Formats: sequence, C-alpha cells, structure tokens
Amino acid sequence: MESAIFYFFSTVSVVTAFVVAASRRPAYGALALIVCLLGVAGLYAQLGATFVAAVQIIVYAGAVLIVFLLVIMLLDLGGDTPFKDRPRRLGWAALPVGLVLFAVLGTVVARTSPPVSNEATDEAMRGTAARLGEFLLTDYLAPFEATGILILVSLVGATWLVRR
Amino acid sequence: MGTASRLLPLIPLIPALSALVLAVAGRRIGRSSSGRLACGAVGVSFALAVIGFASMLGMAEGERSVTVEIFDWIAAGSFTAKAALVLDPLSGIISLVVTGVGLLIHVYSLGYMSEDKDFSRFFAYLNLFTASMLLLVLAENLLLMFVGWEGVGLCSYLLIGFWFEKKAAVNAGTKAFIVNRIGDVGFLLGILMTFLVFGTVSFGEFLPLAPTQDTALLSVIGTLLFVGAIGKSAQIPLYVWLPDAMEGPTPVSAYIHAATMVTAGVYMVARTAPLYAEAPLALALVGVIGAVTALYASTIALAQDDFKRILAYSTISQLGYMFLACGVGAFGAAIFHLVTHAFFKALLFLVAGNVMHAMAGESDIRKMGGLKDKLPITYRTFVIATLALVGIPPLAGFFSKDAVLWSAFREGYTLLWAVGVAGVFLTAFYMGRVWALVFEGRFRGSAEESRRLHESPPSMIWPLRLLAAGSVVIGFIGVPHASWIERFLAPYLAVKTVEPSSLAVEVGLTLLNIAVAVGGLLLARHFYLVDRALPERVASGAAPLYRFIKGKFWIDELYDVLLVRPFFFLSRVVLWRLVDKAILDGFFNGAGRVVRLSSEVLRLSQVGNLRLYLFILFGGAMALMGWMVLGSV
Amino acid sequence: MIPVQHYLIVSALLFAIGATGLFFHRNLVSIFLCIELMLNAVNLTFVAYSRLAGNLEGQAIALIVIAVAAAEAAVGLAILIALHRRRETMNVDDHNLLRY
Repeated sequence: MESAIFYFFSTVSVVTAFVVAASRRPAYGALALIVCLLGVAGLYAQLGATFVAAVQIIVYAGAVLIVFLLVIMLLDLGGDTPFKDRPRRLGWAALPVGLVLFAVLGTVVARTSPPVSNEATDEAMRGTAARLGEFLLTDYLAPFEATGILILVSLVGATWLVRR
Repeated sequence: MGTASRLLPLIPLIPALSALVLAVAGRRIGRSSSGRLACGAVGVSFALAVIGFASMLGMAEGERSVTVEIFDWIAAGSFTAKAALVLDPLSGIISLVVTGVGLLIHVYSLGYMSEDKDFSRFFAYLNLFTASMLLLVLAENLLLMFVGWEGVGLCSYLLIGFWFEKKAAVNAGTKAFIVNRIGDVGFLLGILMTFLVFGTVSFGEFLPLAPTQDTALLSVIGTLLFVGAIGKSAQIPLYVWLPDAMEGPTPVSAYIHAATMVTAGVYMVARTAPLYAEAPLALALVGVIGAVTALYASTIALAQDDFKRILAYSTISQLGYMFLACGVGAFGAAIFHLVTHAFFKALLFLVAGNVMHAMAGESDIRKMGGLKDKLPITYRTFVIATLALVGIPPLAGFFSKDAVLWSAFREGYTLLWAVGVAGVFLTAFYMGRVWALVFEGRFRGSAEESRRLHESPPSMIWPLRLLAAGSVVIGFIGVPHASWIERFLAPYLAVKTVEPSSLAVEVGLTLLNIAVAVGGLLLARHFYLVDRALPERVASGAAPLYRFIKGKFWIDELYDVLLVRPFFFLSRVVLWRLVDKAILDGFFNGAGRVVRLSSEVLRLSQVGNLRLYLFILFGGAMALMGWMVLGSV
Repeated sequence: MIPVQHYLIVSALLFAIGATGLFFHRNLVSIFLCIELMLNAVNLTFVAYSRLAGNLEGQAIALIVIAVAAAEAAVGLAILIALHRRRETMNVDDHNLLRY
C-alpha cells in the first residue's frame, strides 16, 4: 500500500517535471509545475511532514505559482519562437548536464546509509503543526525572524521594481 | 667672555634673517624699507665685528682666540662636528673687511638698483651672501666652512644671473656654479682626508697636530683643499668663470668678485697655514699656480676692451699674488694684500659702475674718453684706486705688494719674484690704458651720449669716497719692519722665523717696484695719449699674437671642445635618447601594452550570455561534486 | 517503510530534470519555472534527510525555503516584468547588454 502511494506521487512529480522541462509554452509549464508541486506535497505527507505538505499546497502551489500564471497571462507571452529561427547557444548542454547531474547525485544517494529507525525517531520526526511551530519558535527563532525580514524586503523590492 | 658667545653668532645670523624677511615679504614692504633693512642688517654685523675686533685688541697676544659653540651638529659614529664659530685675528680682520666693504656696497646698491623691478630680491640675495661669507670666515671647522663655501657659491650664481631674462647672464651664472663645483670636489676630498688622517675636522683640533703627521699625507690634503681654492678664487685652470661673471650687476662684481668671495680661497689657505707649513709640495704648487696666474691674467687684460672684464682679469691676477705670498710662506703678507685689494678693487668696480651708469650701460672703453670733467669725483677716486693697485707709495697697494714680492725674494724664490715684478709692469700698463681711454682725451661717443653724461647720485658717491680714503690709509697697517698686521696675525698663522737680511737689497727692490710701476703707467700714457696711432701699429705688427691674447688664449673654446661638447653629447644622445627614451620608456610603455593586450584577451569572456554563465556555474559545481564523490571512493 | 533513498532518488531526478530544462528553454519565464522546480527538489531532499536524521530540522529548513522561494519568486517576476517593459522579447539570448 505504501509503495503504491509512493510510486503514484513520484510518477506524477517526475512526469510533470518533464513537461515543465520540455514545454514550448510557459503557461503549460506553469500548470505542469503546479501539479508537480502537488505530487511532491504528497511525498512530504508520506514522509511524515504533514505541515510542510500543507504549506507547500497552500503557499507554493496555491500562491507562488498562481502569481507566475498571473504574470504569464499579463505579459501575454506566447510560446517560444520556432526552433529553427534563432541560434541555440548551449542548448545542446541541456541533456548532458542533466545526465551527469543525476549520475553524481545518484552516487551520493547510493552512499547514504539507511536511517536508524525506531519508535523514538519516528515519533520525533512527525511534523505536525504544533510540534513544528514549537520548534520554529524556539530553536529556529533566528532564521524564522530573518525570513520575515526577507519577505518584507522582497515585498518592498518587488513593488519598487515594477513601478513605471 | 659671556658677551662674545652671545654676540658672535649674531654676526652671520642677522644678515641671514634679513635675507629671509626680504625674500618672503620684500615686495610687500616696499623699496625704501627693503633697502634700509638690508643695509641696517649689514651695518649691525659690521658694528658687532668692530666690537669683536676691539675686544681682541684688548687681549694678550697669545690669547686672542674666542670659540663659541652653538650646538652639536653632527655626531655619526666616530665623526663629530659642532656648529661653532671662532673669532681670532685672522677671522676678525676678514669679518671687518666683509662687513665694512659690504656695508658700503649695500649703500651703493641703493642707488645703482633703484630703478630695478627686483629691488628687494637683489638685497635678499646680497644679504644672504653676506651671511654665508661670514659663516665661512667664522667657521671653527672645515665642514661648517664648507657650508658657507657652498652658500657663497649659490649666492654668486643667483646674483650673476640676477637679470635672468638675459641669456648671457644665466649662462654666466651656470658656468660659475659648475666650475666652482669642480673645485669643490677637491675641497670635499680634502675634508674627507683630513678626517681620515686626523680624526677631526675642527681647526682648533687638527692644526696643532700637523707637525706630527707624514708630510706626504699633508701634501695630499693641502693639494686637495687648494683645488677648491683654485675654483673659488679663479686661478688657473678654473678661472674661466670670473670674466663671464661680469654679466651680473656691478655692485655684485665689486663685492663678491673682488673683495670677498674670491678671496675665500686665500682665507682658507691662510686658515690652514700650519698644515701647509708642513707640506712643502702642496705649498710649492700654491705658489707656482699663483705666480703663473698673476702673469697670465694680466697679459690677457692688456687686450680686452670691456671695462669690467679688464678689472676681472686684474682681480684674477691679484689673487695670484696672494697665493704667491702663501706659497713662499708669507701668509701674513697674503692677508695684508687681500685686505688692501678689497678696498681698491671694490672701488674700481664701483667706479666702473658709475661710468656705466653715466654711459647708459655701455662698458666698452673704446667708446669712452674725456670723462674726467663730467664725472669729477668718480675720476678722482679712480685715480686713487689705480695708483693703489699699481703700487705707488704711499697708497695701500704699494705696501702690500711690496710685502709679497720682498717675501718671495727673501725666501729665495727668485723666479717667482721675477714673475711677480713682470706682473707689476703689466698691471701698471693695462690700468694706465684704462685711465687714458676712459677718462683722458676727448669723448669718443655720440653727441647724444655726451649730453647724458652726469655724475652719480650721493648714494653712489659716498661709498667711493670712503673706499678711496681706505685705499690711502689702510696701507699703513703693514709698513715694513713695523708691520702691525703681520705681528697681529703671526701667532695664528705659523709664520716662520725671519732671518735678518740686507736692508740695502730690500730698499733697492722696493725702488725697483716703484720704477717698474711708474714705467708701466708712462708707457701706457705714451701709447694712448701721446702717440695715438701706436697701438694700431703694434697690434697689426704682431697680429697673430695680438689676436691670441685678445681671444683669451682660446681657453674657453678649448674647454668647450674638450669638455662641454662631449658632455652634452653624452647627455643628449646617449642618456636621453638611448637610455631614457628607448630603454626606460620602452620598458614602461611595454609593460602597459602587455597589460592592455592581456586584458583584451580576457575581455572575450564577458559575453553577457546568461546561459554561458549558467553552464559554467553548473559545470564547476558538478566538477566539484564529482571530485568530492570520487575522492571518497 | 519506504527506504529514504527512494525519496532521495526522486529528488535527484527532479533536480536533474530541472537543470535540463534550464538549459533547454529560451524563454526567461520557463527558465524561472525550472529554477523553482530545482528548489522544490532540494526541499524534498531536506525533508527526506529530516527523516534520516530523526529530527525536525530538515522540515524547518524546508519551510523556510518555501518562504524564501516565495519572496524570490516575487522579486524575480518583478524583474521579468521590468525587463519585458524595456524590450518586448523574453528570449534569454537577447538580454545581453553586458556583451562587449
């Protein structure tokens, strides 16, 4: 059962990722990314990070990507210009980079030792909202606050950048 | 003496401060104030010198030396030199001459330079010169003396080239400085050797030790120091700067190039007399060069037409007499002649100044004549000065020149004596020539110029009167057999004991001198007033010889070919074009070019292509990761 | 229990695919989307390692990364809009003022 859920969500994520990477139009890519994010959220949930999964759906898929779509529609971007019409510098690098990257990362993964799994750790890493909230507001307070400032700064910056 | 230690440093200091004030604020305080300040400063120094001198008279014979230490100057390892001044009969007399004659010339300059636009600058330089000369004279050691030595050299350059818009003046100043510098090399080496041999450069310390050292070493030191004197006092072969130095204002010629700076060499030899007394070789060199120069310079003077240049060669010649005296061991006689010469030579130059003032700057004596009626006072003082220079009793020059020549004969240097007597004849002749051509006869200029002839204002007359009076009187300090000056100086000059000699011979030689001098004057009168055509006939008769003499024996041209041109060639072609332009500039320009080319190459990487940047980013990251991964295999 | 490596493989795959897309696209927005994809993959890695390490740190980091990604997306899109105003094109090769 678990494997089924895992494979489902992973397949969704990977396939839509392909679509993002290969789509001609940004609009298609954005939509595919939304689905991909949802798939990854599912993976988060399966890992026990339920709060993170929820945030991913609400914030990432549900706000950031919507803004993306908004911008795409606002700027009325069509698709890419046809392939044959302009020089494709380094476009050839796409596949090799991807393969090599995967190879390297895969090697790293293969070296990862399996986790020590027992009741205590399972209990410890169950990421409910309450526990994560407590964690963020105590041990991770500094990054938390810094992130708040970062968001403020980006707000101001984005607003300024867009003015006419 | 407490007062001495406070007053002595003021003697050179006050003119120096005045020079500073004039240099900085001279223009602002105006002409009359500048003039008064400058003359006042020298006046104060003169008064102080008089006080010092008077106090020395009051002291006992062996104790007439006062040393005042101002501060510790150099202390480098084993070499120490103090900034100290010494007042003794020798420096006292010379200080009186420097400040006294200096004062008169400062006053003269008030009139002479009254129209000049750089009035205060002139007086600043003149004061600075006075200060440097006093420092030279009063210095207690060779190094401090050298400071003054260089100072007067600098002021000489500044004053010769005072009218710097005139190219000839600038060149003359440069020539003076460079030729002096050549002599200074010898002087410095002499100082160095003095230190090596004696361990000190202080007069008070090393002079008493002279007898204990090896004669050869002392001769070397003496010769080196004398090289400096050759440059500063314009002897053969470094005299060439003095005639050209006449480009400067006439008060400068009178003061620096007659009475004081050029006598610094003589002073230096006299100051180090104990050393020379133990170095016969060096002393012989001094005497020979002095005698040869005396004759040589008076020969050239015969054929010159420029009033000041004749006087310049005369000065060179008289300086030769002073060195001749030193060379035979008669240092007292040398100083005596220095003092008398200061009076009448400065006077002669001021006369020249007045004449040129009346002739609107003209100095060619062929264009003058008959000026004795138009410039009566100048004429009278000129006569006194000429008679003094030539050696007619009872004027000053007679006594001093007689002392020099008699010392030479008495010590057995008959050849030098003969050369000296020949010089007396020539001196009388060329001065007689000047007398006849400038003041007697008819005026040879235009009617326009004739109307402009006038006697000079009081500020340019009184100094002449005073100097003339001095020329008359000053000789009496050195009357033979009752010579006050020689007795006064004797303990401080290492004079050898004089053996008694025949009075008859002495009187006979004195009469000979007078006869020779008078003969020279009369011959000149004959040439230039009686038989006017004679000079032409003689000149054309011995034309090549005449041209040779008139051309100053072509020495300047010789130096030019031998030394100046090769030097310029070296500078311009070798060093400038080759080394500086080609090699050094090429090196630095080349370095710049290399940088530029390499940066052009590097610039090619700035493509602005985002994907390229990403690619490099990824490539680098993956390489790093790959290396780390592989590393842990 | 699914072994953690499986999740890591997935995230590695997502990251590689994102990198591929990065070089493949010429449209600036599409490139940006691929960047977001890669961010997401990293997030997954963090959460997976959180499980591996047995604590909540990875999840906390992932949360903060999401916040940062949001901020960065905002600014990035603002820049893209500004660029679009300057020149109509969204082709990455056309934005090369830095070229000598």
